[in-house]
Amino acid sequence: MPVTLTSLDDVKFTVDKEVAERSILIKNMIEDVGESDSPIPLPNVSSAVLKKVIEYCEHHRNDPVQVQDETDDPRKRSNDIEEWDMKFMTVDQEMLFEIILAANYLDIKPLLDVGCKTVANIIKGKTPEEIRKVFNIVNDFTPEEEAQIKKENEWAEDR
Amino acid sequence: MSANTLDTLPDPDQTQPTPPLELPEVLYILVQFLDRKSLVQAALVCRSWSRLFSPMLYQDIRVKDWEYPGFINKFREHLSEVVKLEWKKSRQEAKRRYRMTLNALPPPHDLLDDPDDQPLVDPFFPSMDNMCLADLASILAPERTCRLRLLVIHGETSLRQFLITILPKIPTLTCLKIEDSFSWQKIAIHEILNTCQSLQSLDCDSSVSLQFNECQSLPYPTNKDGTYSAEVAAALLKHPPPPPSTSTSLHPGLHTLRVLRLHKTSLSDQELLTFVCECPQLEEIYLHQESALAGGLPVSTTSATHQWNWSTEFAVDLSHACPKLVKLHLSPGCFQSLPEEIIQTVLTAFPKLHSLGTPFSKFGDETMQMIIDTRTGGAGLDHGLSKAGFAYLTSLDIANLKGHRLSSAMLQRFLEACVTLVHFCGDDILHIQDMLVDPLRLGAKNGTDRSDPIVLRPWACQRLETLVMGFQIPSGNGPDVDRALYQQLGQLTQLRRLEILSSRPAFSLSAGLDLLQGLKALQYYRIAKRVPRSSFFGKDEIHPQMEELEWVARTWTCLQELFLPVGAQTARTVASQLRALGRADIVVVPKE
Repeated sequence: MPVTLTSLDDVKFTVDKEVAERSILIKNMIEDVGESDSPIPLPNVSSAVLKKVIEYCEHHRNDPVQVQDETDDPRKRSNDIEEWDMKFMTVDQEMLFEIILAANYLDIKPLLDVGCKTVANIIKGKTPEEIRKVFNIVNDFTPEEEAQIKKENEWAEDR
Repeated sequence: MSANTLDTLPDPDQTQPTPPLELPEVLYILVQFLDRKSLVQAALVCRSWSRLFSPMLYQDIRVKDWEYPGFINKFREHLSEVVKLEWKKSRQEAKRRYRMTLNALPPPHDLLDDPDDQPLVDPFFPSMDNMCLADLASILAPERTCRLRLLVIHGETSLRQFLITILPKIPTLTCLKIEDSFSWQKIAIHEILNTCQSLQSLDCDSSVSLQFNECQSLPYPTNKDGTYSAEVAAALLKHPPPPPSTSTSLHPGLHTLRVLRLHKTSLSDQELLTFVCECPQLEEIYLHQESALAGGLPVSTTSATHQWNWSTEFAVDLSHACPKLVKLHLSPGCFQSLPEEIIQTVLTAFPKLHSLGTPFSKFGDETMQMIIDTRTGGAGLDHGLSKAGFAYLTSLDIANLKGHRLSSAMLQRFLEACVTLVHFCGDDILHIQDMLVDPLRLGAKNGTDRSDPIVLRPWACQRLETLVMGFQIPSGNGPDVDRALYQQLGQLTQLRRLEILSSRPAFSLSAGLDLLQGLKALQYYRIAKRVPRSSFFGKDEIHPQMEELEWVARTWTCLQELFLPVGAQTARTVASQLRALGRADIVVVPKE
């Protein structure tokens, strides 16, 4: 049973229901509306991003549903991204952020996790200056502010 | 304490370099994947990042943090971010309190027999000792939103008081761990479970005298922190309170508990079964008792630990109580000896079980064959069921096996068949004569040479994340064997924990340590050089050279703990050398 999704810029995408329902938002919409041919509008997602998201959902259409494990250490590892996902996430930064925002809006947890892991891997092991370079961020601290933050967070540094 | 500088910053909306991070849903997921070091660096990137990441540092509060000057004040501010909290009282403090109530009820033998008067960690925790229960209770005031999920309590003398005062204030608590509590008050399991309705994991060691039955609430006045004054203690000694009733608990309702870990519990097996019937959600059970045989230490008669007697009927009853059980680990000492038929009953009765630990048991070839037939061969790690309807085995712990019932040929067959195996512990198989790991016999790169059946090749399991191997390694052709062993182990790139409990290989780059460079995810590395009388190297201790430590510091970026067969002094030296190399995060653990 195919489902039609309409992006922000009015581009229509037709996908299998099973693929579309990897998005919990879409899944709930379909359940609320019932069987219908009318396309589902996604005004927050541009066609370029929606195309990528659909690509992800199609590749992972048969994945089992993830279960939240409350007993695990809150700290998780980020060095276990699958090869396909790694290639999928090799995009420019703007697209990376757009994918994360879309995954959050559409409620696709595995995609959101992979996006965040990718960002985490970019941040890890870098100095603040290196991080700024990668994300094109301007250092808006005054030297006093920077020293203050350093001091306030000193306790957290491994001694 | 100066005002929070972030209050005086310009409107954050003007600077949003990374829009996804401004969404809390996204931020909290991202932060789960970042270690402390990265969070500290991230907080220094720019103002908006500092606003986002600085509070996240408070998610995970460790024991060492409390001693840092000024920490407690910042902690109060960011309490709502705390997800994991370790609370620890000092051993000195515990002893001081004990001496105050000298005539009280008998203390746990740990405290009396402790020959080591040194502090557990140095320097000590003046800030935490001063911060008493009332402070923590007031900080955890109920109107604050509390994310606290994991609470670890060490060395708390007034455990009962602590639990009564603190637990109700943490409705989000899902994991509770209690160690070294120095508390000789008995705690009923139900007291904990009824207070923490959302508790999913409970981990208690022997310092908590966990009772199955409801404790009588003691009418005797206690000090603010739950200890008795000297007069009350003296009175108690003269007129001890009557023993608690022995009738089984009448607590209705089932518990949400999913993980149960008990160390040296005084519960009897029937009590355990009755309790477990109230926890149908149980998925993981770890039971660790003290063995009279392990380590040569006698079991104290006052600690009242039981050795259980499980029958096959008991195992079946247990399976009815916990149909969801996927992990069962019975550590040394639980049983005088666990007969093979009980293990087989467990394997049959718990089809979903994929993680099994039965050290000190009579695990033998028959059981191994059963596992090979029913629980190996899965294509992926998706925990699907085998054709026989059983879960594929992911974790096996067989240490200290008895009765020489397991042959190395069968063990090797298992290691090759079980592609889903992620954790394997074959500790202390050293004394079994024919268990030999001989990497030189491999020949082909992928080690498919089956011509010599007595040779063990644990690296046949490519997916291993934990490998504890206590096998004999032949002593001939020293450097070649070392190198070959490192080469084979170097293939296990998923390893997070590697423990080599044998006399070789040597911890040196010349012996081939660099061949382990592929082990990027390694967190724990242990070598226990049990040097035989006629030692090849002629020394008992090893002194890691700077070269090796530099290599470790550079290569194993995830390493958290390094266990070396050295004394405490050498361990401290190595730790400071690693600190100088920028790896203060690595803990060096000496031999016991």
